[in-house]
This record gives sequence, structure tokens and C-alpha cells, in this order.
Amino acid sequence: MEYTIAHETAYSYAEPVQESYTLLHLRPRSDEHQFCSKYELRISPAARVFAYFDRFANEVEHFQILRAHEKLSITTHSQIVTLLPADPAPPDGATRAILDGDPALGEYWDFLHESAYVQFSPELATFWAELEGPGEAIGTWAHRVSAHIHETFAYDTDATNVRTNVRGALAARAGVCQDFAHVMIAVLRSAGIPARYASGYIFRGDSTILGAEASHAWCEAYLPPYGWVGFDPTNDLLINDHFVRIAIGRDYGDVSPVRGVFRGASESEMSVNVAMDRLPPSQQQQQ
Amino acid sequence: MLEVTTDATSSLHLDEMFEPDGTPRPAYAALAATLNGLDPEEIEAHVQAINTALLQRGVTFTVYADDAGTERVFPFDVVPRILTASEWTGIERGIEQRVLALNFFLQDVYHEQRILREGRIPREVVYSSKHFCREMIGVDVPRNAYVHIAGIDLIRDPSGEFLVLEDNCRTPSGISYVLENRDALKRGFPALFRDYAVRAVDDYPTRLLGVLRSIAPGGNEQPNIVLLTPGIYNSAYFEHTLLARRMGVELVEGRDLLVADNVVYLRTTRGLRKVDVIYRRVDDDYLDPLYFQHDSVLGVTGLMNAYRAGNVNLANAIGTGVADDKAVYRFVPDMIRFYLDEEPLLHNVPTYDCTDPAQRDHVLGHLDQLVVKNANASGGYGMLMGPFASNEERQAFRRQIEASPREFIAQPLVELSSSPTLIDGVLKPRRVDLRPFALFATKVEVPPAALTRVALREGSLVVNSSQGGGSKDTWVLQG
Repeated sequence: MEYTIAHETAYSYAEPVQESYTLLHLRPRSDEHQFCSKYELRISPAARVFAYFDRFANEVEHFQILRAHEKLSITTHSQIVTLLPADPAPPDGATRAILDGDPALGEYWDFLHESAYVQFSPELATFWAELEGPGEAIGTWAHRVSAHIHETFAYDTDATNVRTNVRGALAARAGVCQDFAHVMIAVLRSAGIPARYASGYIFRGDSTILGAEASHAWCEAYLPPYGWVGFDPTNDLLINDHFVRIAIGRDYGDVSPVRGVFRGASESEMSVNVAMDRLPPSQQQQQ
Repeated sequence: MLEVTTDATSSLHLDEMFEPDGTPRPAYAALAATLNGLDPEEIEAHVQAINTALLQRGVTFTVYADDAGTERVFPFDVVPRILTASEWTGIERGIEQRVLALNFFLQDVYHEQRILREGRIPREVVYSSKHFCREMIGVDVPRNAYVHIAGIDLIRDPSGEFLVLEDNCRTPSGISYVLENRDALKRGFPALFRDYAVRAVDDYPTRLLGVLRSIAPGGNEQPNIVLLTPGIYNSAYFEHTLLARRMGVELVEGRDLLVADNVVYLRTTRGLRKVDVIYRRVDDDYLDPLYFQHDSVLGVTGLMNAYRAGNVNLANAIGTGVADDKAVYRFVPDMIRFYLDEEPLLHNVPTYDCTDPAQRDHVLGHLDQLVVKNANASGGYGMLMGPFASNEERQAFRRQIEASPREFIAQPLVELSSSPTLIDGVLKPRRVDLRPFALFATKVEVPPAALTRVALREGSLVVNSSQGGGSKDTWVLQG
């Protein structure tokens, strides 16, 4: 599949701010899942953009605006070819024995332990009581965990906010994709299965979707012999060619799309708009 | 007359000045003779005057978590501590080796992680360290030098061997006392130096400046260097002012610097001036609110980006705290073997790992005999001196160790050596340690400028300034 994505984040400040510094995780990755053939970033007011690859091989962009400004807008336009199958096979062949014998396991310390948003809390222990396993077939089990979260958590945009951690999400039994992903990560890590956070986009249909809805997050589990396998507990899906990945990290804290520091105490309003379109096959062939 | 003798009953530890039979050690004989001729009241008056002068000039430290305490002078003792040329050579070689290995370790854990992959240090120990800075993974620093300034704390056991008690690889302080103590002793008691060829300490700032110059990005030979201080409320603020003045570099706070397009600038009355090297005395957590403590006002926003881009260098590097974590300490001898293929010249104090159930049980069963330390604290805070602690204090540590074993290590009590110290007009043996400073850019050098701290309370084995310690001028003799 090939998609075009427009993603705009706009801030409006009650009073002018100055010396603002902003870090972005917005550029879709080019890796074994997908190829980002075009990418454009526009900043208003205009700013010179710098970039580096972080330790997860995400490309981080950053810029500063020194003069006073009352508005800031950050817009990206991307074109991406996804390489995953439309209907991936479930990782049923992944077993505890294969994982335990995997030489890379030692490298995934950060994906097996607590992180800023992911705590092994008493709430998590309580949640565990609802799950059977994991047993030997950890791939099948991970899939069941995703389904269980999907069934027992309510999708509710008012229940949580971007600072809500796993404890908060478990207490609310509700939330958005970020919370669903964090809960699944916590369950897998506490079962000794490396798990990480992925941020990106999901294509929901052939009609153009406006609004922040298309901005998405999910969980990836390390399940050899398959490697990292993506699960979307929000939709109970295995990651397929409808998903575009921007960044991976321990949790939301490593990959927040826009993070900034500025001078001037000020109230701000933020709005996010994402438009994701599938390119018709004829146009794909021209590429 | 001042009575220069030893307390014959104290035979558990080594006396720096006296042989076990009470005669002065050869290096101390002339000093003992000179001291013998001095009038105690006159000495006391001189010392009082020196301490008052130090207080007035702000050579003080702040005792944190002490309701009454704000500024205190670090009391100065008149009796110097002497290190012979051969003792110093042993210390110098041992510290060169250790600091080199610590630098290799930092380069490794932030890049290939060979020492972890090969299982020589458990990954757990490094990754669970509060000061392991993940933002530094994959970041290259000039000359692969991380710890440009180290303070290695040594103690001397009853056999006379120097042991490493802890490494300080973040922002070690204390050199200002070394410089001030030498000045004070020379001015107040010139007679003491009469029979000795003591190596100078006052070129330390020049040597430090040389190191800071040689680590500039891109080999720039005329770098603009600044000293970044947290400000006047920091316990080492005097030291920051002294070093900046003696090196002839600008003393700045975070708000004096600005990052634009990945370059650090100093805001001056004549506009922005590019900064190449920052000798920073601000902790990692406060350096850049964009990456670390978001509410920090002590740092410089965007500094990490400029650093990662290689446009500015920091001394010390970010993330060096993983090397002086007390749970990592017990692996330093292994680092020396792994990176240098050498046997450690300076040994560690035996250390119990509280994350290991068997060792933890041993520690919990012997709290009345052991010293327990918080793995990430410094300055003598968060420490239990088991044999001297109350039952309540020991129980409080027991609960803390059980709750977070990674945060604690335990060591047997080492009977550190003593040095005669003037207490109320009488010389009394008081316990001492030694903090030599190492400088590193291309090779490790150990200037003969070491700090001797002395536990002024009778029977105390804790020398930290915050715990009632004082200091002595430390003489490294010419060979």
C-alpha cells in the first residue's frame, strides 16, 4: 500500500513566547516495514531544522525560534509505501524456549523493565489475575493479551490524557491507543517478553479521515523466530499494511511527537490534524 | 610547648606520623621537631585567624539537610599530611590505570557494550544505574574522553596499603581547599616548610586549563572556555569562582548561555560569543530541560543537541555517573583487567552486593559491623556506620535495603589511618582519607595536589565536609 499523510500540529499562545526549542518525532521511519519516499517539514514561523538518529534509529528533528511568537505550527507531508502483508500470519510458532535461547535477549533490558509510563504496580498484579498463561506458546498468548485488553478496556478519549501511565490506565479501564499500548507493554514485560512502544498512523478506510484519529500507537513484542511483532490492542489487530510507523521507544515518553521548552509563562492551545490518504494503484505504478 | 607524641593505646589503625613504637616516621621527623618548638596558644591563634579569613573570603561549604547549617568553613588543620615520593608514585600509577579504565568503560557502555556482552559486568548493574544516561548511547565525544576530571578517594588500611574507597567521576570538588590550604600554611607557618622540598600545587589551574583547551571540538587551539556554575547557593560556589579566576575563563550561569542553530553562545554586552568548551559544575539532570529535568533553570536549553552535534564539548561528559555508581565500583578491578589487560595496582575495599540474596542476608545479619552506603549518594549522605549506629538507625536501613536492594552496598569497616590533628591546643590522632585529582585528555595525569580530609570528631571514621570533617595541607615530597 502507498499513502500520503499530512500532519499538522498548531500551538497558539495567550501571550508571546520566546526562545522556544522543539524536538520532533514526526518523520516516518524507513525500515523493514515501510519506505518513506517523500517527506517535507514546514515550520511557521520559519526555522532551520536539524536532525539526528536516536538510539532506536528514529530520526529526531529539532529547531529553535528565538524571537517572540504567538503561534507555532508544525506540518509534515509524507509519502510512504508499506511492505507488510495485508493479513499477516499470527506468531503462533513463538515459544518461551526459543525466546530463552535467543542471544539478543540480553540486549533488550530496557524493553523488559519498568519505564516512565510503564510500572509493574499492584494494579498490574490484579489485572494479571484475569489472564491465563503465558505458558510455552508465548506468541499465541501475546495475541490473547491484545484481545483481552481490547475486550475489557473502553475506548474513551476523556478518561485519560498524555501523562497517564499504566497505573492510571488500569485504574480507569479506559483510555486511548497510547494507554492500550502501555498496558499491553506492561503485561508482556512483566511476563519476561520484551515489549516496546510504536507510534505512527493507521489507515482506517478509503475515505479521508480528518482529525487526530489517524495518529496512532501500538505495542511490539519480541517473539523469535519472528523478531519484533506488532499488536494493536486498540483494534485487536496484528500490524499490517494499514499501519505506518514513525518511531519506536520504551513508551510514549521516548517518542512524543512534539516536545518543547520556551520562555514566557503562557497558556497555550494545541490542535492536531492528520489526513491519511491511500494513493490509487495507478499512481503507485508511476512511482 | 606543643607535645608531639602518639596515643600508644590506638594500635588498631596506622598513624601517618608515628611508628608503632612512638617515634616519628622518617619523613615526619623534621616536621615533628619543628612542631615541638611551637607554642600551642600561638598556633591556635594563627589557625583561628586562618579560619576566619577563609570564612570571610567565602571558602565555605553548605551543609544540606541541616536546619541550622548554611555556610560553614571547612576547618583547616595546621599539621600537614606528608606523602613520600615513592608513596606518591604508587598512588599516581594506580590512579592513572584506574581513570583510564573508567574512561574505556564509559566509551564502551555508550557504544559497543563489549564488557556487557561478554558478561564481565552484568547488564543489570549498568542499566539500573540512576546515572546511566541513555541519551548518550551512540554519542561520540572528542578524543573519547569522558572523565576529564576525577577525584579518587583513597584510604590507608592498618597495613599501610592505600585502598580505593570510591571514585568521583561527575563533578568532583575540593581542589580549592588544596590551593587555599597551601597558601594558608605557607603564610601562617613558613617554618614548617624549612626542611622539606614540597611539590607545588598552584599550577593545578593551568594544567586543568590545558586539558580543557585540548578537548575542544575539532582540535580548535584557541577555544573559548567557560565555567558553568549552578550559582551562589551551590556548596562549591567558591571553588567555581576561584578556578574561573585562576584559569582566566568566564564564570557563567545557565541563563548567560544561549543555543542557536546547535551552537552555544555566551551573551555578552557586545553580542553573542561562541563557546567551545564548558567546564560544567552543574549535574547532568539539570543541564538541559529539553532532555533532562524539564523544570530546571540551572541549565541551557538545547545544550544536548549542540553537544551531540559536536559543536561544544563538556567536561566532564554527560553520563559519567554510571562509572562512580557504588554498585559499579566493585567491578572497576574487572574493568582494568578487561580493557588494559593489567592487574589493578590499587585495590578496592571488599564490597557486598545487596541485590544478591546470599550477600544481602549476610549484610542484614551484620548491620552492627558493616558500613552501608547509598549507591548513588555522595558527600557522606545516606550512609550507615553500623558499629556506631543506634538500633533505630540500623532498623531504618534494614527496611530500606529490603525495599530497594539495588540502592545499597555494604563494606566492612576499614580502620583508616590517623594523622595528629590540633584539637583544643593538643595534638590528637584523627582519621584521614586522601583525594587525589586526575586530569585526562590524551593521557591521565595526577597533579601532586591532593586533598586530605580529616574526621575531627573523636572516634569518627567519616571525613566528609558535610559530616564534620576538616582538611589538611597535603605535601607530596620531591623524589
